[in-house]
Amino acid sequence: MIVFSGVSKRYGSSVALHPVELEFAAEKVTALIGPSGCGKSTILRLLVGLVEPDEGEIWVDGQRMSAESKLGLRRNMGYVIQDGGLFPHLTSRQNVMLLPEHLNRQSEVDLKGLAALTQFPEAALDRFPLELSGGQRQRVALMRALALEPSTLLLDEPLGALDPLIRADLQRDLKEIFARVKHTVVLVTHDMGEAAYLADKIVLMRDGRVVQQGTLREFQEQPAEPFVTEFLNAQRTVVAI
Amino acid sequence: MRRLLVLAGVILACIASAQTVVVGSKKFTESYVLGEIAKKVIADAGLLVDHKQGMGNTSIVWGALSGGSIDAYAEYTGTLAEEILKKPGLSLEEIRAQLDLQGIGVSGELGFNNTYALVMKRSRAAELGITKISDLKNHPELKAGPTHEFLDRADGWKKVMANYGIELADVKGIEHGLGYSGLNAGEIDIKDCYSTDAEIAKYDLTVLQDDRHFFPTYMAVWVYRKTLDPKAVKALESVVGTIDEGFMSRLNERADETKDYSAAAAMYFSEVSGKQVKVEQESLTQKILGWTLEHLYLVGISLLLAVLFGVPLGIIASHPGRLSGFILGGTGVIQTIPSLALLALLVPIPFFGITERTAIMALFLYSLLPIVRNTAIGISTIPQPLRESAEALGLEPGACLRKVYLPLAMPTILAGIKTSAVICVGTATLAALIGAGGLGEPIISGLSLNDNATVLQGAIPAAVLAIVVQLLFDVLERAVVPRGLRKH
Repeated sequence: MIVFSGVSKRYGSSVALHPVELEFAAEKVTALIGPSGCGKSTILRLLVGLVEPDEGEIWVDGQRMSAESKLGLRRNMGYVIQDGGLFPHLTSRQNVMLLPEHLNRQSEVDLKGLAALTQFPEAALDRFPLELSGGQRQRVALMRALALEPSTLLLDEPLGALDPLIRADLQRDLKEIFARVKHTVVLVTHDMGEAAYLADKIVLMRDGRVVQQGTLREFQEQPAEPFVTEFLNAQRTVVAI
Repeated sequence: MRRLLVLAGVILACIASAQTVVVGSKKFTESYVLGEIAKKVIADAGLLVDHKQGMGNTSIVWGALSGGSIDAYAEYTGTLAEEILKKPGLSLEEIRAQLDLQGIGVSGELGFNNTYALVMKRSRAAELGITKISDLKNHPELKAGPTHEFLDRADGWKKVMANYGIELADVKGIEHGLGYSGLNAGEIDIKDCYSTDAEIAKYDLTVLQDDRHFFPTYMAVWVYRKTLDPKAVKALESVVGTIDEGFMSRLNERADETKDYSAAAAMYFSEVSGKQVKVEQESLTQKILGWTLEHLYLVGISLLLAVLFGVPLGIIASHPGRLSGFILGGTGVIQTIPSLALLALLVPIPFFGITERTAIMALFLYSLLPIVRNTAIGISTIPQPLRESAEALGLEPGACLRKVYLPLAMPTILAGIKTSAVICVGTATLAALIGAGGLGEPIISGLSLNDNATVLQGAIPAAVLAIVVQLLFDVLERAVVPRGLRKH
């Protein structure tokens, strides 16, 4: 379980996150959603220790995130960003094995199993990222994130750069993966459909504040404020076109 | 990278292989010829010997001797007294006693005095019965054509004439070379010269005896480090008293004519021993190979140092901040100092002086900027998502650098090293100015002797070397840069 207690973050004079209380339930999928600049990505970056909170504390599985503990905590997290963040000088296999080999834990990695899980063709393991399609790159990024069986999986718009057909494919595969490997998953997305399809709980944010937490049904039936309905309608319009 | 290290090691090993006596010479024909003679007598004494030709003017060659980069060279008593000890008029014994304190030995006089002199065509002088300067008093009708410089000097023409009480009616300044032609053609009767000029032998001129000892004496002697092998000292002493002005003039003439200093040295040994002596001359290929190896040594060491210091500095400079500005600004300023000025600035510093160290330091400083800048740029332009992915993966900062940042920046860093290497190959030709050898040696001595063939012996290999270095780096790039980073 991950707990944000009174966590806030500002960049210079602009507030990215007002003091916030949040819980990400263990072995559940939580989606962070909201318009650009609402603070959803900031939460993920705080979680993986790329930025430090100005106030408040972040607890991951009972351990407080700090400058000293962050390296250890990160190694128990998988992190996937929009375009995969694969290292272009390494093959797919080398990308996946980089950390395990650095920690001398390569024997723990089941590369075949990972490839099967992410539906990645084994034959392409020795290709470089530039020689792969966008969807394949995301699958390799997932393999890299899952290699050491972390307890937490952080996904920052993992499907944002993919075209719709591939995106639908990967959504299905992600759903399966989440079901098979019991992780605490935090998924950042701007697509309500995707959030509803993949997540157990949705957190809607706006201007650095949490507007409402719950399921899509709760959002529809008991909106916390008019913005919730507005946001849902805007998403629907896009789908309608 | 590893291959570069091996190459540098091999070159180092080649150069530092044996204890060799190093003879130096100044940048004019006579000094070259004497250097070749010294080389031959020392070699005959069974020692390994090398001759660094035409290192520069007095201060450079003397600096090289006192700094230990050469062991011996031919110098003149007048120069030692006036320029080195700053005490004009010292006798040879006094010079020897004073230099002894500096750890420098002085041999006996080689036999000739290379000073200012007045010359006439031998036939004309004989016809008038003139053998010494004071004889001119009876011939006010003679036409004189001294050089402009000699005519203008306070201690030149006017002072000689006044000293001897001579008045010549017709005195006109003429350029040195033209003056000799004029003497030969009979257009003038008398001119000034150096007493061992090659033209004296060439045009069969006679040097008028300086019977009032007006001109200072510049007797040639060997100067050598006291640490020099006694066998080498003994060999040098064997030359003492064997060369008079006429002989030296003929040796100079042979050297000028053939552009081959070892041929002049051979002539010396043939005449002294009375039998035909051949002085082994290194073949052109050997010479060029030697220069090229020296050149590669200078470039290799400097470049290696530049990589060892430049890459870490570049890594530090890749973090924006005051330190980064300081490093990039500092290396940038060094680059703007003209290379000659940089050498000149380093020479007075005690540890450096006229040594190879100065050349290597200067080349090292020149090679820094491209490496530092490219390393800093290569790392700082890695896209943010990639940096964060490396960090978020759980790699320590050191591992991020080694496994992700440096490999990603490698093409840019290599391009920087390549630029440095090519600059270094070019700039290293200037190392010869302070006697550090390399392909600049023939270029600089060729320029000072107005001998284009010699210039090209250095210039062509240097140009080829620059191209080869460029190609080598292209190959290295293919080997070192991973396929994933190459442009498809």
